[in-house]
Amino acid sequence: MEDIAIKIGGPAGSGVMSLGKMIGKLFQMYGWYVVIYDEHPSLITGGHNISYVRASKQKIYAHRTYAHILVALDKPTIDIHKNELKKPALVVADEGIAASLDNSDILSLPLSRIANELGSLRYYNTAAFGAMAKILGARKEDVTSVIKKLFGKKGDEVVQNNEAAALKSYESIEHSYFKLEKKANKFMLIGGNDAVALGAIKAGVKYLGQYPMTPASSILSTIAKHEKSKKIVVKQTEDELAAINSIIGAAFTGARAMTATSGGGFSLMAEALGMAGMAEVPIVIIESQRGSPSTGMPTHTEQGDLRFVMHASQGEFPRVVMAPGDVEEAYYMVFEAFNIAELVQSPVIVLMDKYLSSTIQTTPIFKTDLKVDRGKLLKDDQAQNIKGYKRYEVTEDGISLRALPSQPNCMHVASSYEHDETGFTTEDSEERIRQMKKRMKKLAVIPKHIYAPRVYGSDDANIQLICWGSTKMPCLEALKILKEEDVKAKVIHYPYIVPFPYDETIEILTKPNVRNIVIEQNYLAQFRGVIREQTGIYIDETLLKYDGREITPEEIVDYVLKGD
Amino acid sequence: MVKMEDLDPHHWIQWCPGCGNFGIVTAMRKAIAELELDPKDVVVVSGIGCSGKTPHYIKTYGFEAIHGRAVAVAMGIKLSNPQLHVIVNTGDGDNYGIGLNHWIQNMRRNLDILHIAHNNHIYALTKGQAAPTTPFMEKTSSTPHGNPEKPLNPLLLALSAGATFVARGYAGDLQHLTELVKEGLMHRGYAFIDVLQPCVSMYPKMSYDYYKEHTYYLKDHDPSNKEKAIELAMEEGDKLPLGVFYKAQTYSIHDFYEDIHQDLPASKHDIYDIDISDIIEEYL
Repeated sequence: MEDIAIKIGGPAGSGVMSLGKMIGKLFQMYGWYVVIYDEHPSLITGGHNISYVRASKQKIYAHRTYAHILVALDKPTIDIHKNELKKPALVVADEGIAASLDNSDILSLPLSRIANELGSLRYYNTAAFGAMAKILGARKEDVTSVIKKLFGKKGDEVVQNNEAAALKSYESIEHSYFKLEKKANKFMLIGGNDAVALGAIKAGVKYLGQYPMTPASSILSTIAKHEKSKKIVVKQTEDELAAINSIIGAAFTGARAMTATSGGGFSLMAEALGMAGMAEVPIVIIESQRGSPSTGMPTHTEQGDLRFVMHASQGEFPRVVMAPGDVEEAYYMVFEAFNIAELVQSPVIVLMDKYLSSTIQTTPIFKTDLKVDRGKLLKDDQAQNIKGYKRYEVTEDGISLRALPSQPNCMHVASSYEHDETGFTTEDSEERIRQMKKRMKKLAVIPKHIYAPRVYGSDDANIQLICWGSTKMPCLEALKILKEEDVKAKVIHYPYIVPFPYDETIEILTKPNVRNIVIEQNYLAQFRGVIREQTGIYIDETLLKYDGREITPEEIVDYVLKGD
Repeated sequence: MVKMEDLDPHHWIQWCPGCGNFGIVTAMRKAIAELELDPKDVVVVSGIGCSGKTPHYIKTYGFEAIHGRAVAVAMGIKLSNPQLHVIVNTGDGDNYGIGLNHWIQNMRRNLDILHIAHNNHIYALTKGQAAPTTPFMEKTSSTPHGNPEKPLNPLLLALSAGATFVARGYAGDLQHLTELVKEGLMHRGYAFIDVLQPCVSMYPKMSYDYYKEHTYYLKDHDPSNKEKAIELAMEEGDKLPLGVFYKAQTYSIHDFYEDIHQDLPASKHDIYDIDISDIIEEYL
């Protein structure tokens, strides 16, 4: 077996997600490529949760619509997902569920019996993990290592009981159904939000102000876990207004500062976003989109906020909008976001979505020899001899020397009002024009710090799948399927949207005899609109999805082959 | 050593002649000079309104934020660099209306800042609309038939929310206000001063003469007595007490972050080569 897809279903609170993680961890240990994606309603217990684990010996980018194994932690899972099964179409369930269904095809396991023997149904999912490890053909000692890795911090007793549950059920199965071959790869297994957290920590974030909002909340928890060891001020604020305003205050003192939210929270932040633009304070905002408008579908994915983040807040000021396409890119781009914010002393928005925030992938181990660049930041020793300091001095590139409170000779006011070069409030026509031009000069500088759309696939392909953000993952997976079908295609992925890479786009879109398809997760084809606005080129083919579920590689392939 | 004159940035001041804000900004300059604080270590933060212009009229670092958010900006400043003296200046609409939540939450945190609320009982800069502290049934430009809301009691709210220095000052008594500002600056924790500030243009009714008649100075009050402080705050009669109502040293949110700033404030940490190998290890 080269490629195994496992779907786990059950009610919220039954350990669906953590079972998915355990199985993923096992594959990671064997050097396989892994993609894990969870789908769940906005509930704490009950409902129907799914964790989907796909593993392969070859590089994979996204989940598919099928599963080889269905792990049913409750009865409805079997009904809901049985049609997705593909050979060998194994259904695994507790003996209680299996008996009630009178279906001899189900592999019946003593999961609840084992858990009860250990004194708690909490061990139900670790028992299921032990069984899965045996079914997949993993060695017993690897079961123990996964449990140690995932539960080690919770204490010896938790580890021992989980180990016992897993090993008992491992041994309850006579033979393996697969052979799990070891590959030499060494990967990280990490989710999108954790990659954001790591990128920020590596970049030296010193102040995080955040109000919890799905799907961005785990960024707060992950960074908070490291607040003491990495010396970061992590502040859960009273609302998103306080989140963004406090990061602006923090950045004003020189701390690298960030907030993370979803569309609803970002709506509250809109006014202060403009203050960061006006007062030229470098901040990083993570916006992870979910099904909208309004409260919408909180635990589902969408790319409906593109236009919103591009234009939010009154008036005109420079900003950067970037949209990483996968977990690995999230790490590197968030790191870059902090550099760019300081280089151009402006707000940088990192646009994520629920799909990317919660997708867990194997990635090459993150590089850490990344260069922090703080731009025109005044050093303490330089401040000693400075004379006639002006915070908003008009310069060639529109970027002025940034002094920080406590530095001598540089006292100034940062203001949300229009101001003169010193920071003093003014409504004078000439001063206004000078400062407006100064800030807008950055528009010419910012493009030097971003990179062009990335092109994946064969050079001579005449089908171009154009996407941004997380749709990169299903698009790249679709590319693989198309290749198997002898269809040559390319994926054009935009990591940066503001500023828009004009020259490269013109070159890409004006190739003769090329079929362009814009693929995005919204109703209005917002990115197609951006391309048209920026280049005058109208792409008439789009593949759009807005039901809250990530577009699948199959849907893309289907569209490419058959059209609408 | 800093002198009063050094704290004057010599800007043309945009407040109306006779505005109570002159008294407030002078008291701030005087307090900083008398306490011998280094102006480069002081950050004056404001929101929007007449009080919002304060940072421009005192030569320290300053941040003139958007309406209602001064306290939130100040929190980010103080938590990132606790060595800075942070003075927030808000108006009554700015703080008791649009920004109320940040004020309450940060008193609850006992954030270590001095907060001076310029309370003129009116929205002045927008030309005389009712504010959260405008008296009941008062006629204003937005309530021509009378203000249908009862006013908010800032001191009572501050006491219940957890501010650990609560005082009322009067913009017309420079000496008294300076002493309050000095005491507030030296206090570790949330120091809140509601300053009665005559607005000569938009609310001339509450004039300097009015306040002379309708205030009195606290005498022989023990500010460690919170119950008595609450009683005093509830005095809403003919004469309002001026002075320090309450003062206590208790837990402040900064205690939690102390180890982060132990060697240097977080804002000055060297971030050029943060080691994350231990975190990466967790994902291997």
